Amino acid sequence: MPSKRAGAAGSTRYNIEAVARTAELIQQFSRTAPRLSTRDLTRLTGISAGLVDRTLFTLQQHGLIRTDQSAGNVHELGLRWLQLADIRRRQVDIRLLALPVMRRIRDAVNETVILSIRAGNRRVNIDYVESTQAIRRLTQLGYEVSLHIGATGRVLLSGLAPEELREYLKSTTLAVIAGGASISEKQLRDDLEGVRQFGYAVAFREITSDTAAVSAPIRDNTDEIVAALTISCPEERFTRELKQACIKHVTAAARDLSQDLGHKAAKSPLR
Amino acid sequence: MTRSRSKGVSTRQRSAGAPDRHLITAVDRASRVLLAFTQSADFLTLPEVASRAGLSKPTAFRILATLVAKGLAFQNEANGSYGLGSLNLRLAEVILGGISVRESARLAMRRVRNQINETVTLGVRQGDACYYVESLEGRQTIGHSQTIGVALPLHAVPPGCAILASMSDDAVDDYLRHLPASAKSGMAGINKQRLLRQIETIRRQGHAASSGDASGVGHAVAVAIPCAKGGSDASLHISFPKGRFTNDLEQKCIKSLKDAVRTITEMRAVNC
Repeated sequence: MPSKRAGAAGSTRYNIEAVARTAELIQQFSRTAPRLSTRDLTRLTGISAGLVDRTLFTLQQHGLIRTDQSAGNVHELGLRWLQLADIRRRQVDIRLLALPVMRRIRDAVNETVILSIRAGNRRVNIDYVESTQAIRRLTQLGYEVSLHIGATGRVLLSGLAPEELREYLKSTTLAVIAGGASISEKQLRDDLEGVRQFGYAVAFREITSDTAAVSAPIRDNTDEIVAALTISCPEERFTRELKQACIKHVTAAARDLSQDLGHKAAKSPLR
Repeated sequence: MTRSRSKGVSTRQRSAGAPDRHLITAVDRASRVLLAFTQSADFLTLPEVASRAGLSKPTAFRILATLVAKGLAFQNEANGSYGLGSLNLRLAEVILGGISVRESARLAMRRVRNQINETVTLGVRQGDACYYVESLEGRQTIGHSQTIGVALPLHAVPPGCAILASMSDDAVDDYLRHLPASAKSGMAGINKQRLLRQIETIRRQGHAASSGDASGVGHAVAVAIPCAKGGSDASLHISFPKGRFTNDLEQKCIKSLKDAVRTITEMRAVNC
């Protein structure tokens, strides 16, 4: 074992190794193994028991590890990590996080990708990456529309609590813009249940008479839907193959973005 | 061989405080680098990290480079500043997964937030401290933001007081005997008699309220979540800016919290 003196004498390698070893140790804790003994950690990492104990003892001084000696020297992550995670979450700008992902989706399907959030009873587009095709879905930053219209709005609406949904329905006339047709409350509730069950929404001719869209929810650490990621295109191009590709890309990307926001591993919406 | 030596370290640490000779300098420094980031200083330049962690710039750089490589920190490509990495989120998820009351509380918390539209926070007891582990913020333009994961002495905040009041008289006495140690973490000058009277009031009313929490700028109302074994190991509270306080809002908060705690208690596993 390298001595502390060796580290203090300027062995950068020792310092880095100790930090790397710390990261390796803390990553052994998981939802299925939240409490580990020194022996467990030694077995899992090959790091000597002495080093494991000294590393965890040091982390304990900062509230990053909690050791229960009465339970046989069992360690668990300290609640101080929650503070660091909270800071990390607040650092995240959803637009910056989503932009490279949106570009990748656009490159894969060459259709317009839109990021939207809920603002009261409306959905608002906060970013988009357009298709490079001559005929493509166009949109604007700040474009807004009622939540029950379109795949994006319905994804955002699906995250409302029952009482919030009741309030929304009380305050809204269920009209669909493009055709002037209305949607019944039962039909809307069925659609929202479908979004919750499958993890995405599909809509045709709702925003305008010639568009189609697939949208999936982005959730944060509290399981709340904070944004919707949508691929939208001219309806005439929306073949079965393109629809399947859009569903695959948008749900996978939304799941990845959710995990980046601290949402625990999402259930796969695809069967 | 090594095992028995490691046990010796742990025993000494618990019985006689923190002997420096058992610290690993690089791990200690890395912890200081991580904890240099705060809500109000979430992106830091290298000189800022070095200054806050009390390290030289080259040392801070080497530690940050390792933390970045391991996912505990990241470097902003645009301006070179540092932030905390995604691994912190995964570690938090491990911790939260072990807090059983959280799963039962989530839906109830959302319902309370939707009813009251103010910040709803779940606090848990660990030792003599209350930690906020999850918070749902209200959707108003101005709201109360809670700091997650920081140890707050039980007597210092309404959610902690609510937990304290649910404890037996013996347990409260025991806590009060240890008060000087807790008070060192920021609550000097606590009046024990006043605290005991406060605990009595909380027991009588079933909730704790305070115009001024740890931050001193919010009003908070808290209700303890009972534990099957008796007492309580968690509490739910609503907090909002003092300027929005009205008796009517406070009564609504109390009713909403008590309904939520009833639901959580019903849902909660018998073992807590």
